[in-house]
Amino acid sequence: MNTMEDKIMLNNRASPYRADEDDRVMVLLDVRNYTYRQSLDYCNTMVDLRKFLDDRIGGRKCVKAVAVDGVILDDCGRDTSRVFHSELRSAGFSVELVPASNNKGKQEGVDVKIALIAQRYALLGKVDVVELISGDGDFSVLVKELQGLGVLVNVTSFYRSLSYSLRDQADSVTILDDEPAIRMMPKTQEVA
Amino acid sequence: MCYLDEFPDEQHLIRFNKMNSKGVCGIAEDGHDVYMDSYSGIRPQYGDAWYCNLIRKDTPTNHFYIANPVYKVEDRSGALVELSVQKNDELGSTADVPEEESAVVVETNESQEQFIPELSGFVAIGDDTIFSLRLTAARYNVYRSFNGEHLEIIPDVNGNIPCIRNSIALESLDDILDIKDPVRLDFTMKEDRILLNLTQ
Repeated sequence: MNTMEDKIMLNNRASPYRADEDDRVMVLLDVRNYTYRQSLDYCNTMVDLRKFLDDRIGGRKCVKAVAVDGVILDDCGRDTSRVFHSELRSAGFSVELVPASNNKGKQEGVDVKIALIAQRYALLGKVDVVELISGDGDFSVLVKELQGLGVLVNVTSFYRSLSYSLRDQADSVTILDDEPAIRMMPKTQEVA
Repeated sequence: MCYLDEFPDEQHLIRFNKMNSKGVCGIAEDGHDVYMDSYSGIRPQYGDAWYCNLIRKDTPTNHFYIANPVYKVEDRSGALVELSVQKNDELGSTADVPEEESAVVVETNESQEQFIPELSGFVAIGDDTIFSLRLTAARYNVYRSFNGEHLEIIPDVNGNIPCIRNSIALESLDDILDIKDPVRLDFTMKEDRILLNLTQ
């Protein structure tokens, strides 16, 4: 499950639509879930977000790519993660910010927002495949609902943050640890 | 200056893929610099590989080597020579191969055909460099996976990694690979993308 060969095999096997370029795909990124695990396991890695998104779309038709994040404001009323959000926008994501839902700053509204966006597009029949970038087990209910509407759901997550329930429910799973998304630099020559 | 009769007959394959204040130099098996004898009249270019006789020169704190060029390993046939030697040595040292023996490999068509499948692979040759005859584009974008187990090489005219003589040099590649000797890397191809498996 955790090797690139397994992933390629899984992708080829799990989804008959996978190779279809006419598929309409929607990418949903749970920013907190993604960045939290990255900062723990792979700190100081600079991800090429554009390639990351391109790989998720995989040559299919992209209906929408949404990154949903909670917003925390500083003393001046500015978004504390505005630089990262700007990078997400540059990469092609549409950034949706949800205010903190309680006074402890917990971002409970993010999951609801992602579910609402996914279900809206599924009910309107505008999407064939949802690429969900999150390992949160709360989304297993959403995945089941989407599958009931005839939408395939591929879950992408770091191995250590992927919940069992979500993994079992999804049509296919991509393990982010194996994904080549960190851009390498050319070797600098020693110059006098 | 070194007189020719000072050089031992033993030949070493030296790849000149290092730049320092004295210009292009090679790296000997013990990791020390190799400079071409200026009186030989040969000025190696970056990326050249030569069979050379080496003579050691000691300094108070270090040592280096002066090289007397014997013949240049170049182009496709040159690559055949080089990698066939590596194959014979089981990807170990490429030194101590008599000139006549290497020449036979180049001139014999059967030997070439035998080694072409081997050459289609990817070899990490040290010094943060990957060599393959499949690396034919001028520039590449290269991405590594989070866990450092895979490397994806994508040809791109605007890529940030230049490809010189079928080789690409990547910052800190040897740290990821943690190798000292040349090693062959498993790979898969998907359209024009190359996926290397770095786990040995």
